[in-house]
Amino acid sequence: MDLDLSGYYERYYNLIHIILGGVICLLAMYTSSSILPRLVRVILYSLGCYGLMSFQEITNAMLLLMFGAAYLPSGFIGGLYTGHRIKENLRIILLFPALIGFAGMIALHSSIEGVNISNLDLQREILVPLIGDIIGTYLGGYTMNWEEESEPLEIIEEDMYMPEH
Amino acid sequence: MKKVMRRTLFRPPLPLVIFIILTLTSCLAGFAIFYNILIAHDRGKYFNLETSHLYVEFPKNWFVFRWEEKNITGNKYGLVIAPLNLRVLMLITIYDENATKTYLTQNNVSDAFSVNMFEIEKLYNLTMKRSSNVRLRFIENGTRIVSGYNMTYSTFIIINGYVDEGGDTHDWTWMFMSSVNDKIIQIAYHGIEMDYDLAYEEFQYILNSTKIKG
Repeated sequence: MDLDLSGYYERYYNLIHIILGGVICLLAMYTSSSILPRLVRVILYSLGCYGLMSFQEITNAMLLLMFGAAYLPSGFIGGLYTGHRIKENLRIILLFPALIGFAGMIALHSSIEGVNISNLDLQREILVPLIGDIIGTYLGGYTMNWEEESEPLEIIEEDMYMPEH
Repeated sequence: MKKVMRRTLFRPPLPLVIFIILTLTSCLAGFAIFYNILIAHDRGKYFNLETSHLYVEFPKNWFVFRWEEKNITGNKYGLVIAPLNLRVLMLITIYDENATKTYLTQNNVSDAFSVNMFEIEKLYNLTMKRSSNVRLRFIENGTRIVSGYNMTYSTFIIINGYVDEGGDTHDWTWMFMSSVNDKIIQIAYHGIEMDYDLAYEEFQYILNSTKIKG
């Protein structure tokens, strides 16, 4: 009896790379979301204006910084890996590394830092990281699979005015 | 007819371009908000902070934490102001009318001096639980005006009153002031040993700039 195992292996292979993409995304997200706020505080302190952290408006600034410098790049890195390894059904597949990364980050924060999941701020700790992560993953995945015909060298025939001698 | 050879330059994939634009835009917007806050609250060496109950100016490298405690028995509003490099802290608490009535009734006090004595005794009893050989030494009692309110203050040292992370004890200097009218205003400034004196000038500046609303 002949068994065709190629489909099975392909699915298994895809699953492994989706999970690996999610883990990359998770590690990048956890590291950057832990380091970046501390880095901002250190910079403000060394600039002699740590008091800026006391203002409520700073929450929006930090949220934008986290979106642009932590969540989006983390998703992008995870997406780059997944997009590099998997070439089909990206529209659906790329969602999973993003979700694995986001869920893993919430789990890590709650287990390591003792953050209560029910007390999480919906906008700051759920929506913005999740959206940043998903957008980043899709952008990363499609960067690796962008199908645009680009010819490195093209020859164009042009009519040119030739002066008579 | 002439044949022209044109080399197509590296064209980055569109998603990469979108990613770079999004990243740069959000980071720049974040920095713009930082800068805007810096400009809006800049008062030379100080930042100004305005809440619904208070206006204060504080040194730029200190941090401020605002808090609210809302209850059926009344509301309390406050600020904690402290530097990062010195072991000192300033606390401003404002009680609303209901909270003032509750506080005065529950603690059986009626004026600013008795409020001070009540709080000092409470603090002293608390430090006695943490550290042995604690003594209380009063330095000064008096009155001063803060934001138009006549405040009664007491300065005192709790000898061996502060126990640090290493288990060493330190003298703990306090200035506690309060005013009792239709609302209670309490201002406390405390620090460990020399730190109290080092930040005293800044404390005086904050006190002079403080405006209590309503």
